Parts: sequence; C-alpha cells; structure tokens
Amino acid sequence: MLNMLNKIRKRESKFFLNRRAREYPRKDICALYKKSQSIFIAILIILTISSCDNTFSIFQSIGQEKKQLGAELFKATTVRAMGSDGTNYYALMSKVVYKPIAGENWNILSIDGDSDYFAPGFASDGSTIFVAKADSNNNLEDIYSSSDNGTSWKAMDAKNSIGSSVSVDWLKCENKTLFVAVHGSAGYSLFYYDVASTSFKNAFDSTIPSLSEPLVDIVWDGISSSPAKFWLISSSKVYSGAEGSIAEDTSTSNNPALSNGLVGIASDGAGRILVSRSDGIVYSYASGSWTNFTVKSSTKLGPLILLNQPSTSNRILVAKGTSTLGYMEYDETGLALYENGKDFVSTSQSIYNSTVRAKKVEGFWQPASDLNTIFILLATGTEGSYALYRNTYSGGTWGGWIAE
Amino acid sequence: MSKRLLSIMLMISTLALTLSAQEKIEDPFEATRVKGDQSISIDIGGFVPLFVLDNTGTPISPSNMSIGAAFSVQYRYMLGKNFAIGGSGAGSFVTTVGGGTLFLAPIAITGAWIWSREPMEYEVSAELGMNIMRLYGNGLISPIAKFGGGISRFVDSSWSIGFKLNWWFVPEIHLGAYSNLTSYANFLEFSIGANYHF
Repeated sequence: MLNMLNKIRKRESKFFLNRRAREYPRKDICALYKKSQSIFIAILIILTISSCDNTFSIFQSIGQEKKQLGAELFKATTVRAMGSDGTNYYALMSKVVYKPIAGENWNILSIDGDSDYFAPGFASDGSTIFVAKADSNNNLEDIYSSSDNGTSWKAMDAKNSIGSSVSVDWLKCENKTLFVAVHGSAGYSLFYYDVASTSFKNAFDSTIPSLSEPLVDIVWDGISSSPAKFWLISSSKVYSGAEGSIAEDTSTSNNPALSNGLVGIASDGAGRILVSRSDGIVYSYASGSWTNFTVKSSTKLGPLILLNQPSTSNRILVAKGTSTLGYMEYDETGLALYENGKDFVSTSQSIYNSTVRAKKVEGFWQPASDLNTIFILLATGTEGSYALYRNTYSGGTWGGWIAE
Repeated sequence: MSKRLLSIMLMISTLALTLSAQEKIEDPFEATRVKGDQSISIDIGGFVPLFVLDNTGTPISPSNMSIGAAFSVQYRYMLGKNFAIGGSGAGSFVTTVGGGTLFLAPIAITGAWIWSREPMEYEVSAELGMNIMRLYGNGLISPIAKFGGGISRFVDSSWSIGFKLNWWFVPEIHLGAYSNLTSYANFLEFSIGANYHF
C-alpha cells in the first residue's frame, strides 16, 4: 500500500504542480500551429474528395472479387507474346512456356533439348511455332521452328542471313509469313523468312535497309490477294506492302505518322487497319484512306485489338500508356468510352481492379481458331500478381478475366 | 494513568484519522484524474473484418477481406474525474481476396468514461468522425463510428500500457442514382498500446 501511495503522490505532483505551468506554453503552441493544421486538413480533404468516385462501391466491389489462382510462373513477370499450334498454347516470357489447349498446367518448353535459354521472340502460324534464342549478351543465336508441338526442332540458320551481332526485338507470323524485327549497329531492321530460298531476307523494299527508330508491330490486312499486303508501324511511321517490298505509307490525308507516337496496330482481318497513338487518337484505314477518332484526348494509348464478340456490339480494346495503365473499351457504334472495367469484357469493376488495373498491357491475343477466347498479356513487376489472364465468351457474355 | 490512556487514545485516534485520510487518497481518481489532465496514447494491433451489409441490410457474403493491421494515436483531455474528450487519428488496412489492399484512415472526436483501481485503469469509449478509404486507386470519404473499451496498467507515474478492443462501424454512403451502392462494413480492432499522462 505504501508503494501504491508513493506512486499516487508521484503522479499527484506531476498533475497538480506542473499542469498550470504547462498550459500556457501549450496554448501558445496551439496558436502557432492552428492555422497550418487547418490548411493541412483542408488540403487533405480536398485531395481526397477530388479522388472520390460516387459510382464505385468499395465494399460491394470487394464482395464481387474472385480469388485468382494462376500458375506460379506467371507471377511477377512479363508475357510478351502468345501463340498456338492447334495443340498447345504458348506464352513468351524470358523462356517459352506451354500448356495443352484443354489442359491446366503450364510448363517450360525445351528448345532443341535446351531448357536453360533466353528467348527474345516467339511466333506461331497456327501449326508451326518459331522461337528465337539469344546468348547472354542478347545477340541472336538462331531461330528454331517446330511443327510437332516442340518435340523436334529445326534450326533456321538465322545468323547467316540476319547477322550475329543483332538483337531480336520480336517475331511475328502473319498470313503464314514469319517476320523478325532486330536491331543492331545499323539500326532497326525487319526480315522475313523466304520459304523458297530457306533464308531470311529484308522485308523492306531495297531503298530501306534499316530504320533509325524501333519497329512496333506488323499485321496482315486479311485480304486474300497476291501478294499479301502487310501493315507495319515503327514508333513514328506507318509502312505497308508485301514482304520484301514494304515501304512507307505516304498518304497525305490523315496519315497517322507521329514522331515517337505510334504505339499499336491491329487488323480486322477484312482490310481495315487501326493504329493507336500516344495522343489518344486511333487512326483507321479502310477503302484506301485514313480517318481518325479520339478515344481519350491527350491520353497515351497502347496496343489494341478489335473484338468481334458479341457481334452486335463490337469493341476496341486499347491499352492505356498513362500511369493508371490497364485498358479501355471503345464502342465505335455508340462512340462511347468505358474505363476502369466498367463494361462487358471485364464484367465488373472489381474483377478489372483485381486483375488488370495498374498493369502495363503488352498486348492482346486471340487464337485464330477461337474468337470466343481472348488473352491479355501484362507486365506485372510485383510479386503475387499474374501476367496472363484469359477471358471467355459464352452464353452471350464475357466471363471476366481469370489468371492463367 | 488516565492521562496516559487518554494520550494513547488520542494518538490512536490521530493515526486512525490519518489512515482514513490516506485511504481516501488511495482512490486513484481523487489523485490521478482531475479536470485538465491529459493523455496521449499510441496503439497498434490487428484489424478483423467482421461483416458487410448492403443497402438493404443483407449481408454481403463473403466479405472477401482478410485480417489486417491497425494503428492509432489518440489525445484525451479530462473534463472531470471520469469523463474525457479528445481526438484520434488512425490507419488500418485489410487485404482482399483479389489481391488488393483496402486502406482506412479515420479522423474522429472521442469521448471516454474512465475509472480505475490502482494500478489498473479501465475505459469505455465512443468515437465519431470521418473516414478516408482507398482501394485500387479509388478514394471515398465516409462517416465512421467506433465503440470499444480497454484496460491498462500504470507502469510509472506517467506511463501506462494496455489492451483495447474497438468496433469500427463504417457506413459507405452513396447518394442519388448510386444509393444502391451504399453498404455498411464492420471491423474489430484489437490492439496493445502505451499511454502517456501529463
């Protein structure tokens, strides 16, 4: 009890003797900081209110979330390309991984008996797959092809015709033609594989041995003409033509050319070409001329794809290159833009938020034989987040993104 | 003899009166809590999502939130020997099943009823304020109410440490055409903390 009383007395002296002495300085301090505190709180409230969205319910959105259980090898990575040979799906990261189309598990694909390699490029034409291998300095080693689901491989002797001191930027198969974009000391070049001579040749016409700017992507216009016509974009200009004679598109009206501003190209498979730019505008080529429309002004776009399902309401999915990343849906018929997963492909904002939002979209891919399936290829960078999601169209609706 | 006895009785009586006075002082509130006393407490602990109701009062099941963490800082000013008012700022987070993280940052005014038996102190409290929430880059401000209680023990004349439980009631209010998005979330905060009395 004595100890207790001592404690009480010790506190007594502090409470009763010091309180008054401290009150006045405390009031002074309050007066000094009252104004700045009020300003700080006001700024905090304004900032928060300005970011409020009355259309977004936090708790109901969380309630709609689905647990994503994807393959571990798609965590904290970047998927840069996809393809199929009719038996398997393939995805390119630093290596190529595959799984049976109807299967569940993804595995690393061995290339010619080698499973410890770096692959800067992958492409498929629907039955044959092509993989570029590079050494530790990212110099091209060779390009391999397989027509039996990766069981046996054929080296295509790419170094002999492309060069040994170049780095592969990407591979792409369009209309059964394999294109190889590379860069080296001479600049950026595009080659195609000439089946007749079994060698790689310059895809541009003879006046363009190389470019000074990166090549972004190439598509076939989808028209069964001979020779087939391809559309290519560098980061600044549009090119078109048959393999071996691709030349700059010199259309004077509405030409999409923009210095370091071209970010994506897509084809509807029936002669129409879309080019997305860093200023929020998409250019459309059809019937010999370019037109354009603004998806979102002053907003950097990214890769895009024309989605044909549902057929009554076609959409353009276009990635955002801004800090919020993810993608937008643009309804050409209704001239409406949907952001943040507010429309049918994502099915709900919560699914969009917990899958794609804030991730850089590397591209979209649909298997040619299955337009009811779409994959979104992402750069996640963060642990615990997946880089590949699939969305399936069934019963008149898209089912939402599900981690692979 | 009678004088001696009287002296002894007088001494005993004096001692008894003194002890009696000291017994009164032993009531801690007589000594430790008076108007004007102040305290600052810092608490840290876990944060458990309990349940969420939609605008019709139907539970949103599952809530899809996992246990998280919370911390708070609170200032109190005694208006009397038992009642204190003050303010608090807190921060908490829970993770969601989809891999997101919900942040809550309430600022509130608080009222507390405090009583004690040396060296323990007990309290029940209520808080009302505004709550800033953020999920996937979307922010919202909502009202918030907290109800709870705690127990703490003085370790010296200025410091006490203790344990608190707080129920967080977080109504997420949407107006107009989006009133159907209104929902009511409930969380339980359990924490340990330190209180500085001055």
